[in-house]
Amino acid sequence: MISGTDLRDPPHARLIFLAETVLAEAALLRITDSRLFALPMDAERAATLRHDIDLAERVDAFVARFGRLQDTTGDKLLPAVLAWLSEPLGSTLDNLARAERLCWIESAADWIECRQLRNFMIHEYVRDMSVLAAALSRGHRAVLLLEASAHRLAGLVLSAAGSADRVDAG
Amino acid sequence: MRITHDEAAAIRRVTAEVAGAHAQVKLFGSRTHDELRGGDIDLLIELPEPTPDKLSLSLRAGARLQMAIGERKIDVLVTDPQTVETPLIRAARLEGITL
Repeated sequence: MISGTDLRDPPHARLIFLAETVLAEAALLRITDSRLFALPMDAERAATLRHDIDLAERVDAFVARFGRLQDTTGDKLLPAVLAWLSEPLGSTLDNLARAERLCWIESAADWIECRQLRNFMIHEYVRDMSVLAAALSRGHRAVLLLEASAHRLAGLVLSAAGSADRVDAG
Repeated sequence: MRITHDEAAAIRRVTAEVAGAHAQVKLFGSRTHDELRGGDIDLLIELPEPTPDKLSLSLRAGARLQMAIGERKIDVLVTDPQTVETPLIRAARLEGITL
């Protein structure tokens, strides 16, 4: 069983804040994801982004929310959880490898691929609409993985915080 | 060219693993200029045969390179004979240094 120090200690306010933040970010990503991918994304639809301002803004929101959830989860919450559990801390790559071994993320390699993917989802940069459509569709499929990791990590923290509160109240 | 011998070797190895022994890899962009500092590592991988999922190859190569040479910004463009040549790709082909 995983257990860290008592979450009622003041230093853990940031940890709880980060856990709540990734849940909020995951919920917002889910909303944009459902709206954007209500229709499949193909090259023809991607080509309309130049003229369809609403769709372009929705894609921008998707890419921004995808990036924020991945960065807050991987670069902020993950090291904070590792520190709380007195696990060794290292570079982002080391932390991701550790998270994979602890089954918090599916695969460190896939996580890094998702980071690489973000460049290919920016519609101003990508000239080949089939590449843009493929990247966005891949991002859509990756939402489930990001969400699962965010929920797993936030769940560890918030369930411990809830237990601490219940002990306090009792 | 501002990458180390080990980095160049890692780039060649990962390219061969991901894209096959006949793929060519070029370094282009700011890292080809000795007088500059820092900057992304921009790579162009050229495939000799038409290949359907170049996006996956690019993502896999970028991720494996990050794991091999550490956390830095690495951008990988992958082209095949059917790729439409944009100005960026044309510049990378002309000015890039084959590794």
